[in-house]
Amino acid sequence: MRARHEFRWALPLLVWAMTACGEVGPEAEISARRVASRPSSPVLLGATPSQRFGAFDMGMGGMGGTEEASDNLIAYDLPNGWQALPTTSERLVNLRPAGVPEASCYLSFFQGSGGGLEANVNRWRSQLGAEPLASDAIAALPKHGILGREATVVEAEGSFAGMSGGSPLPGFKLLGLAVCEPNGSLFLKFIAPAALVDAQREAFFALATSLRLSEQEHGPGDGHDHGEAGGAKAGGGAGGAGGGSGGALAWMTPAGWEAQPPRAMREVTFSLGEGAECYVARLVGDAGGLRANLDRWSDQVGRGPLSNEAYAALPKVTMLGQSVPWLEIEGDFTGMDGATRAGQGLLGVACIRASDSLFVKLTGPESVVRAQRENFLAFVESLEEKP
Amino acid sequence: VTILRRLLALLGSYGLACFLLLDLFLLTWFGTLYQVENGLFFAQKKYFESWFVVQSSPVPLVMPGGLLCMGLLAVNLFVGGLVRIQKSKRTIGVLVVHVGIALMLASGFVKLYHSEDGHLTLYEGQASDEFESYFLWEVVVWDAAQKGQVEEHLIPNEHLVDLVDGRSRTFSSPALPFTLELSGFLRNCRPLPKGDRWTAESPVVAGYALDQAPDELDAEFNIAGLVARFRAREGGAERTDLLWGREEHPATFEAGGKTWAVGLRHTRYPMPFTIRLEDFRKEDHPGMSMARSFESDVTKLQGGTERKLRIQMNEPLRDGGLVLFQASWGPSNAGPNDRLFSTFSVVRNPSDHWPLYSCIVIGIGLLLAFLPKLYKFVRAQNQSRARLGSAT
Repeated sequence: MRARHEFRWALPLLVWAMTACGEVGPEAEISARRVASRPSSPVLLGATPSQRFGAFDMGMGGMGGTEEASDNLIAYDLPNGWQALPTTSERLVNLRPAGVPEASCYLSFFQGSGGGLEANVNRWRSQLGAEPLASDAIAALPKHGILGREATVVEAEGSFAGMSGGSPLPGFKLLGLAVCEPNGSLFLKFIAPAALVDAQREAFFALATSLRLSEQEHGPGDGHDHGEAGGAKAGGGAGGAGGGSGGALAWMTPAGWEAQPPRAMREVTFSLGEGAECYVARLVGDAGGLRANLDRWSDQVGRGPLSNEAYAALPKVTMLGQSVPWLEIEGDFTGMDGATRAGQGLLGVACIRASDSLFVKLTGPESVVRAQRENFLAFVESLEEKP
Repeated sequence: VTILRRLLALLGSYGLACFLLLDLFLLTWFGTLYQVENGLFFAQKKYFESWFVVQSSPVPLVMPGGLLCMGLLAVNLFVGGLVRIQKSKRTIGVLVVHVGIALMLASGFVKLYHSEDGHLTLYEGQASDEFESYFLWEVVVWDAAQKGQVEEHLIPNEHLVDLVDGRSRTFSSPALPFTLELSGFLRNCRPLPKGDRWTAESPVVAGYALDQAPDELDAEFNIAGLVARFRAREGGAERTDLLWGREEHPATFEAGGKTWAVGLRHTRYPMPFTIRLEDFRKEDHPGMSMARSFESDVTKLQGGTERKLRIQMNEPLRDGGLVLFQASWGPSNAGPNDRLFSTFSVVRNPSDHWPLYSCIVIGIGLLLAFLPKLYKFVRAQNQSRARLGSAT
């Protein structure tokens, strides 16, 4: 009698257990509905896969088309069938042929000569167990253009030991371009199984040729991730009219300008408050020349390229011993997210030289930019190269 | 009746309790080790949300999974600790403790099967009246011409995740002029232009296919993909397309004189109110970029009224059966003037307060069990002191 009483609780549990596990068949009705306050995602009729799946980030592959590096200074045409990977502080462009995880292709830029061409060529060769080359053999290597410079083409084949000291991977090949100059070094390195490197040789050189300065930059305060940043603040007299330096440059920091953590290809970045920023960037070579860069900036605020008259009428400022035109322009800034911000201002100046070029650019709300004009010019004039 | 009695005796036995507690110990041990290589989500699935676990090392072992183990433990507790236990004044404390533990187990069960959890991520100035799951996916179909409020037809996660190994399922609705056949579910994949160096896990559509990727250690970073085949009920038009969890625009299909949008996304849950992020603040540890504390000022909009609230670490917002915790923020390397976003972990859990009630019940049970003992002990001590006093 007692056992029967104790058993009662188990019956509903058993019934529940038997009915709980239902399986859906090959056909099902869509029964769930809800009313949402907005569409799930914007509809684009006739969208191509490239448009539907968007510009990949976070390592999410890419597709043939124009891509931009995260720090937004370098743009390139992604070879068909390659994918973009997240950039790092040392990899301004980071790619690989899709579906080959052991392959990598990346662009690096370093201040200074990086130990010189010979050391770098032979370091690459040693990573594949290849014999070092003598100076005259390196000088005789073929050349290819990259970002306006003539780069040395380096090839090596063997077992790839990598830089982490892991087990060597046999049958690998390295195809690289190296530029080593006193003011900066550029490296584009493609390393993958040899057959893949051979198959993608044309794509690699097409990629190198397509590398260029970005035509579109982030707007101030646009919410984008601004690339890798170090944990410490850059030296540079933040918070007062002190002196500062970054690499081979020195300057006087205007009051109220706060130095930001280091960023790739930038000598220094300042936050001016209220969404405005100013930075100094250095690139190898003439970076396309002065006029092209000023036109590009003008275009960014929706004004299109400068007319010849406007260009000729630009006021001048002394920068690193050169009298160079500076640009002040206002308009609607269109950022990478497609959002247009009205009432933005831009102050820009470029010092173009054969070996390298320096750019100083200040952007932000037009009232802030106007108020910072004198500070900007004083900052530009204070720039000097340290011995 | 004898068999039933024996079965009840087994289910309520100390032996079974010891076995289950040992099993729980092993599950926790193996699960912790598994988590290192495979992430929390899959460790939870394999060891704690399963009926059985097949363990290959250090010795081959088949043992009850967390679901079976804790289910049996609840039965064991109920049969042994509530039904069969000798009921007297002496055991009332133990009985109450067992009720508290049963309540704790029940809260876990209710949470497992009846809770919804996800996140709400907002930039300053943004507002939303829905949150989305970290792990679950759904296919959503809507009339692309709708503006403002949109009626969505939803295919839930459980109808998608089993579409592997060649399985397909055809979905229909009287409200839709087409059927939708889904197949080839991939838990983590990327749509890529099809090249000759990789094998596609899906049909190639307009030069693109889905490339299966290994599972991410943190399962919330997996991005699912599916193959969708549309068939119009009239006219016989057909089309195949790829759906991907991070697509920027949905696939579209024309049927019944309308354009229909079909997308794959993380499961979204409506909230009974709208949350707008007004301001997010964080305070770093001195000299470091690591946040010491962060908080969000939000406005809750409901029924035409606005209420200003602050959500901060350890001080969630509880409203309408939802709990919004301050969970994260970003971008992690934002500068002082960059626009920040705040992420709230959102849970709708009917048994949200049950663990608290359970602890109170267990506390009362322990008091009932040990206070009489304390009273007896104190009384015995007093008596012995009194005896010693009278002897001297």
